[in-house]
Amino acid sequence: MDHNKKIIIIIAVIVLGLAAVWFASKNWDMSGLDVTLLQYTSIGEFENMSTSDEIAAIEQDLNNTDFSDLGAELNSIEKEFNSGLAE
Amino acid sequence: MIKKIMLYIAIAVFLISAAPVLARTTTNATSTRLEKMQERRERLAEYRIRNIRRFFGNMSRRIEAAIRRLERLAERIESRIEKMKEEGKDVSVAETELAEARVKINEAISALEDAKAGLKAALASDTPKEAFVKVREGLVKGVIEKIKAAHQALVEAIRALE
Repeated sequence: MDHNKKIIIIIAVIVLGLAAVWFASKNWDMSGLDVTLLQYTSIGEFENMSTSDEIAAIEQDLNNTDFSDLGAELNSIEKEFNSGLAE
Repeated sequence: MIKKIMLYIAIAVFLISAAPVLARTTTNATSTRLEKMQERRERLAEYRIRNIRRFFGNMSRRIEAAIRRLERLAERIESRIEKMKEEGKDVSVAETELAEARVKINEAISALEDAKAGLKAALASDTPKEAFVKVREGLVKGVIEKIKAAHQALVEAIRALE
C-alpha cells in the first residue's frame, strides 16, 4: 500500500471517529432515558364482523368483542406524566 | 536578589490582574452549563409530550373503533327488532336494552371528546401530573366503563330476542 493511500485511510478513520463523537454527544441526553416504548395495538379486531341481523350472528360478534385492553396505554401515559413534565 | 523580587512582584501583579478575568470565565462556564441543562430539560419534556400524544392517539383510535363496532351491532339488533315486531312478537325488553346501550355509547363519545380536550389542557398546565389524574378518571369511568356497559346492554338486548 503506498504512502498516500495510508494517509487517506487514516484521515477517513479520524473523520469517522469525530463524526461518531459528535453524534454521541448530540444524542447522549436521550440515551439512558426511561422512555416507554409505544405498543401499537391493532384496531382490526374491532373492524371485522358480520353484517347479518340474524340473532346467532349478532351474538357471536358480541361474544367476540373484547374490550379488556382499551385503556392499555393509560399506564404508559401516566408514567410519562410522572417522569418530570412538571420540572 | 533584586531581580528575583522583581520577578515575584511581576508574577503577583499578573495574577491579581488576571483574577477578574478568570472569575468571569468561571461564571460564564457555569452559566453556559446551566443553559445547557435547561435546554436538555426542555428537550426531554418535548420528547415526553410527543410520546404522550402518540400513546393517546393510539388509544383514542382503538376506542373509536370499539364505539363504531358497538354502533354497528346496535344497528343490526335494531334491524332484527323491527323484523320481529312485524311478526307480532314482544320486543319491548330488547328495545329498552338497546336504548340504554345507545345512551351509554353517546356518553362514551362525549366523554372521549372531553378527555381529548383534557389532555391538551393537561399538557399545557403548570401542574400536568395533577391535571392528568382527572383525564385518566374521565377516560376510565366516562369512556371505558360506558363502552363496557353499552356492550352489556347489547348482550341483554339480544338475549331478550332469543
